[in-house]
Amino acid sequence: MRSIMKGLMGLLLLPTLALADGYPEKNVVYQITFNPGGGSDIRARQQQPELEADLGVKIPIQYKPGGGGSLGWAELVKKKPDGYFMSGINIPHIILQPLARDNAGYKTEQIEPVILFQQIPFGITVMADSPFKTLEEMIAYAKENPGAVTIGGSGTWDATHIAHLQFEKMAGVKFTYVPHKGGKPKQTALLGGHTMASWFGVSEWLPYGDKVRNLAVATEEPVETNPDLATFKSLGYDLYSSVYHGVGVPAGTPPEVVARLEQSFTKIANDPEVRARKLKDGILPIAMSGAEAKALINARKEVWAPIVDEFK
Amino acid sequence: MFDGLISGAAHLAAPTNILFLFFGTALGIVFGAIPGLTATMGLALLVPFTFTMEPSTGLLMLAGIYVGAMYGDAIPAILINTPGTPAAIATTFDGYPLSQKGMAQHALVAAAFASCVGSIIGNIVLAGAAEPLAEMSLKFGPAEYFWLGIFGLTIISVLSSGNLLKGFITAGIGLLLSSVGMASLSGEVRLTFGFPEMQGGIGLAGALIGFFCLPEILSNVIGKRRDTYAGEQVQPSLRVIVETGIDLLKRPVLMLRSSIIGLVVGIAPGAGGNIASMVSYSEATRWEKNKEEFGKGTIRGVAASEAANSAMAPGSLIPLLTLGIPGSPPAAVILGALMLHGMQPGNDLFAVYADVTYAFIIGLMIASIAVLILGTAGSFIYARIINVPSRLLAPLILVMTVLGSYAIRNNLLDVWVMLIFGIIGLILNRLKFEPAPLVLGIILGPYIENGLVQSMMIGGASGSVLSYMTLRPISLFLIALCLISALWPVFMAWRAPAKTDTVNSTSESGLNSDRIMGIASITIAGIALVFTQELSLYGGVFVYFVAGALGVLGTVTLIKGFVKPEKIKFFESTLECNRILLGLGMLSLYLVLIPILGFLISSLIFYFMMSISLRDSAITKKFVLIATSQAVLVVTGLYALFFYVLQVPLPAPIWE
Repeated sequence: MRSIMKGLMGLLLLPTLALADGYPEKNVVYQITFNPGGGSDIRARQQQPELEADLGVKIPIQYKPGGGGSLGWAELVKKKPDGYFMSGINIPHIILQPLARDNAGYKTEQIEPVILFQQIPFGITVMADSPFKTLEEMIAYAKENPGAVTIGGSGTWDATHIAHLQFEKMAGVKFTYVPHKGGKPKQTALLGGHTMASWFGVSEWLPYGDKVRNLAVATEEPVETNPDLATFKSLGYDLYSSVYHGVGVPAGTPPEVVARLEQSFTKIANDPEVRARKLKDGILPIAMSGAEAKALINARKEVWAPIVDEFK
Repeated sequence: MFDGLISGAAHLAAPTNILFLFFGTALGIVFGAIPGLTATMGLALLVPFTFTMEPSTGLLMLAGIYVGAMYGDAIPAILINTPGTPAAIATTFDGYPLSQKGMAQHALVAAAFASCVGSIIGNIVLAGAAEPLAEMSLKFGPAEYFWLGIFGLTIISVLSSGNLLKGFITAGIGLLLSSVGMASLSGEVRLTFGFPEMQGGIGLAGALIGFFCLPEILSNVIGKRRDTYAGEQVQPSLRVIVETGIDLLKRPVLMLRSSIIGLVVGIAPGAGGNIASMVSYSEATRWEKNKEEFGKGTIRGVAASEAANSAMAPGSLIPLLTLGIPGSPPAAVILGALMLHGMQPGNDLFAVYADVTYAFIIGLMIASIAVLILGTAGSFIYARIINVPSRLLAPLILVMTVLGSYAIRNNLLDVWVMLIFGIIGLILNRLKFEPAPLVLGIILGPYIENGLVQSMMIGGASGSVLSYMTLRPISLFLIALCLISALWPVFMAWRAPAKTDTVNSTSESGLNSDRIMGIASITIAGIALVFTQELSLYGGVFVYFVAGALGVLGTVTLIKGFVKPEKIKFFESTLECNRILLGLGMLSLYLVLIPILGFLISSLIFYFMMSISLRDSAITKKFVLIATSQAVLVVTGLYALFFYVLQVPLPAPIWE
């Protein structure tokens, strides 16, 4: 059944795209900009066999960790734009790093997104025994005690940090943002009571079940896993925060090559089994085309650039 | 729990499972033993293969890798003074001196034995008391990490063989080096001097390879032309195994203490084997009798380090299996593997998937027995490696150092860092400064800095930074430990007044090491201060503190250099000097050639040149032929392994 669906989908896509003749002729390197064994790596290794089957060549996975991914993306934009080197990309990282650092080693425009295949929405989470039952209560407390509420995040100039800055501005209150060295230390800090609240992704709070309580999620519509959870929008804050994972190639790669890669990745992203597994883990399975991804990047950049300038 | 244990044990009755467990252990030993390959990489490479396996089979293989790697890293530490992973740094302190005495097999067996015991003790605790201990792991907050880091620094008093000033200076430089790159919390870029490549910071693995391995080769093989790498030939025998085993069995306190230290450090999320083995080693030197033997080659030192880093592994799995919080980087990969099989850490693991979870825990114990078997049997082979004439071994090791430091992050800059650290290591050795505190500084820097900065943030929000950092149970305990550890040398001196300074065995002519280090420290501190003025408070506070302290220590050292000059001869002879400079020149040329000619061709050239230069007798046609074939064989073999099997993107020639 799965293979029939895949075949059908392939048939539907084929006539609409002018695909590169003969591409790929040799191995296509898939670069991971984080450490071996991390989320990005494991995702890529799950895609690897299907990509190899679909493209008919080997997809060796290479690592270039460091600088929160920037070393790898700097490597990506130095490569020949011929479609034989692609890299995992993360939004907002590839937007915020060049904005916040004088010399990140690359510019956002130098990366051509091929596809974004998953989205993790973020929200504010507290422990189940926290005195803050709702977002309003937390804001009210912070208004009376500026800076006394500590909210953890995964780093500086990452998704959680920028969402935090936007939220503080919208709510007109001052919290104390506590950055951590990544998602896991942030979770540990909340669980151990070292921070009072924390910016968690859906996939981060789900495993803790009843131990934690979510105050709001920064999406347009309520999330499937927590249908009763308020969105920031419904509470009057125009805040949207998600991390997107996808794949990019150096800018200037021929469009038909990008289209061929997009086709392969779209096929994997739309696999019902893959979708079901992601949903269960609190990850939204998407298959956002390169063009849509570009539009998203440009829109976000416009919102974030002034904020980064203000707080840098 | 007992139902779980029994159904878990059932999984291990399957021969396939045991087979994969042993396979994983053997592979783990290899990954641990090759500097530049780590347990984390080994696990990551094999996780995809577990997709198609039964969950229990896959997890048992991963268990084997994890346990095997914790032992494997001791092998190069003992044989060539190069820790296979950072967790084996403390193993070099006594392991390598043992090798030099011709007792490499003693050290190897002690490491295998201690790894096995540490791992079993750790696993018993993991099986029995995971849940209550998990709660403890959550108590580790920023303040606790800060004090843990400071406590780690007090180990310097042990590592610097009595000269505290020298120890603290080198540690200060290490702490500053740890701040190069992106500040992990504030995200600001520091001290990269405009190189975007430096934003990743100084790679610990590359630094270790350069720091521990290069000075040995440069001094002993290239400079002194010693015939064998470690000095003495070794004759492996069964008797050594029995002797060593019995010797360690008679030391239950040492084994237990080391294992508990490893376990506790493992439970603290994020703190790994490198801290565990260092702390355990320094506690061993503090409490054991005949402490003057430490650092000169005693199997107790090897055992203390290896028992701790092997007990760390099950410790790090406690918060992982109960809360989903990895206590170490390899544990993070195991978490990924669990989730791929649909097993979410937490209560489910000990209820719904109890059989698989307990199979995994029992698997870890069996893997530690596999380590003992493979380690003692293998000691006959490994120990003989250092009997190979050093002029044959040296070119191979040098190519491996380049390959290893590159492969860890696929970054050519890391190879240059490795070479620079090799030179620093050599200079420190010659100036009679212990190198270990510098590495300790690099390792502990991030713990201290993150702990300090987060404490300032959280403490600031609660009203008082100082009371936040001190008035907490674990913090108070750690502060007490710091005080005891810091005052220990004073106490010892009071109990047994030190003999008068015996340093003055120095010649009239030569370099004044104190003046050199004093000026170097003041310069480094000055550079660090000048180039961090733009940073925010949180991005700069750690650098300011350390640079300030380093400046003061440097000044004191400089004054001492004038008041009480201590002259040191840097090179024994002009010949030695020329040989070392030639070796360094060839290495530098090698690194310059890599991006131009590619890894393969430049390594071939380097290997051949190095073989020729290490030959003192006439260069015959026959010798050229042998050297060439060796170069081709070794280099292409390594190239094939790294490029094709491990898929490391080794640099290609410029024309490709």
